[in-house]
Amino acid sequence: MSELVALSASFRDPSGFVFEQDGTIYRQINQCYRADFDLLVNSGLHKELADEGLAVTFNVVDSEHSSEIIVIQPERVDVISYPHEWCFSQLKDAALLTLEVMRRSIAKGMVLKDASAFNVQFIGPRPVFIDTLSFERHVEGEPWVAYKQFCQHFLAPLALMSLVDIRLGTLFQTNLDGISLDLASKLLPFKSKLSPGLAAHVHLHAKAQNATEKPASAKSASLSKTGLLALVDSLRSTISGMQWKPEGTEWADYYSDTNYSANAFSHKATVVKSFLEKVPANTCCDLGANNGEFSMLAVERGLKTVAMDIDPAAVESCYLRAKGKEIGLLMPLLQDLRNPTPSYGWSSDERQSMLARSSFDVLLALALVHHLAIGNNVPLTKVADYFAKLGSWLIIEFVPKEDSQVQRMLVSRKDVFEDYTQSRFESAFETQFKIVDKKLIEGTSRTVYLMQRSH
Amino acid sequence: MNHESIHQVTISLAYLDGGSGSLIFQMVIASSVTAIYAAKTQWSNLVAAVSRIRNRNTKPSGL
Repeated sequence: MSELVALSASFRDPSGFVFEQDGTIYRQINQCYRADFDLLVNSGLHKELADEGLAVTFNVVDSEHSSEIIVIQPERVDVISYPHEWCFSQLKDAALLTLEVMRRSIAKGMVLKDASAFNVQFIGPRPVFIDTLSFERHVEGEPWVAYKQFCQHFLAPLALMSLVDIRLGTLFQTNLDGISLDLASKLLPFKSKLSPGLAAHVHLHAKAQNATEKPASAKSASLSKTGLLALVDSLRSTISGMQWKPEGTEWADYYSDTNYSANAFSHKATVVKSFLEKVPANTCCDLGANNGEFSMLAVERGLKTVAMDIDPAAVESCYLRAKGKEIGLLMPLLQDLRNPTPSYGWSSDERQSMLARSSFDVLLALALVHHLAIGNNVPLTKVADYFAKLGSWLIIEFVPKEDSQVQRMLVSRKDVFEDYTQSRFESAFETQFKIVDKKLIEGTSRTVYLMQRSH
Repeated sequence: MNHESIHQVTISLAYLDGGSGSLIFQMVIASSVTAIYAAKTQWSNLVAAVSRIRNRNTKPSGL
């Protein structure tokens, strides 16, 4: 292999880097990490984690041409997601996974040298540890170097989401290395100081960082293996006890507050299902998926489906359902289509935009367009342009102005949407798509379309 | 631990800056939770041992 170029996110750890060649992802392991990599494999730790689905599997593809460098091909993760795009329980499960990986590593004489939330990805509703280079030999007595990072990446955002406001999870997008503990300590309510775990790992921990110039006593210099396990257990107990119940947000009760009759709802599902069967597809993205009710039609069709929604309660509900029923094809994600994740981080391309990470065979956009066109003043041609970048096929619902949901949106504002008619909707989308089929939903004035991207 | 030894620990561990305040602080916290952890572990071991004995006693003989 020659001319290897690391992916834009893979540059901080000198142990190696990730690169792509001919559409396949590889990881190069440098000489400086070789001893730790050998221990990871020879101790049986990697096999144990991979066999139990806690970490990605990999194959060694190139170890002969050089005694110094080896190349592995890790298990592919279809859709890359970032921590601010996860709901509360996704971040909590990712945190518990990281601690479980750490606990098992200690048992095998290793530790995690970093504990970034970006080291976890989701395959469907299952979190999986992806960073093969995060393991190193445990030196008895040395503290856990990733303790602060773990608290910033998991504990602080979970505490803020749970005890202050669920929307504070989005702070992770602007704070690439997690939420600083002094900031979290300021934002958390007084009652968080009554929780022993939060009092220690967030509040006192924040103060300890401010007091770094003070010399420490020599006898506190050692952290035994049992002490390390106790620290991990304390973090696990603190995180396990955190709860957030999805209620009171905009969409949490959407399906109990809709203007559909049961028959209309059922007919809509039948239409969407019949359109899905006509499409040659393996992947689907349900835009504005709510709790994933219609995403399940794509899952039943056998498609790997991402269910995106703006509402943390809806995504939480979708995730808990996918996890509880072990729906491996369904991956819920928090995403605001009006302001999708941009590229960010170092040089503005360390983390990719939602658009750069997303390419789907078919999109579902049900009961969505009126929110974008009327609720957010986006012209229909711009909606069509954006959807054409995301997927090849489109199943989309047009909700006309006379629909009570649209009327409700227009109650408190002037109707400046002269172009929001069914014929203008069709002509706007025909700039990017060909209309293959359309069906009126019985008992409503709504129409569901099947469209194919024209170019 | 003095400034020099803190620095050495940080350098020897990884490319990540663990923060010297955090490195010292976790030792303090770990020492305070170790007793609880040890008690929990002992209790779990005891429960597991009792469970094993009970299962052995309830197992039908001759199987």
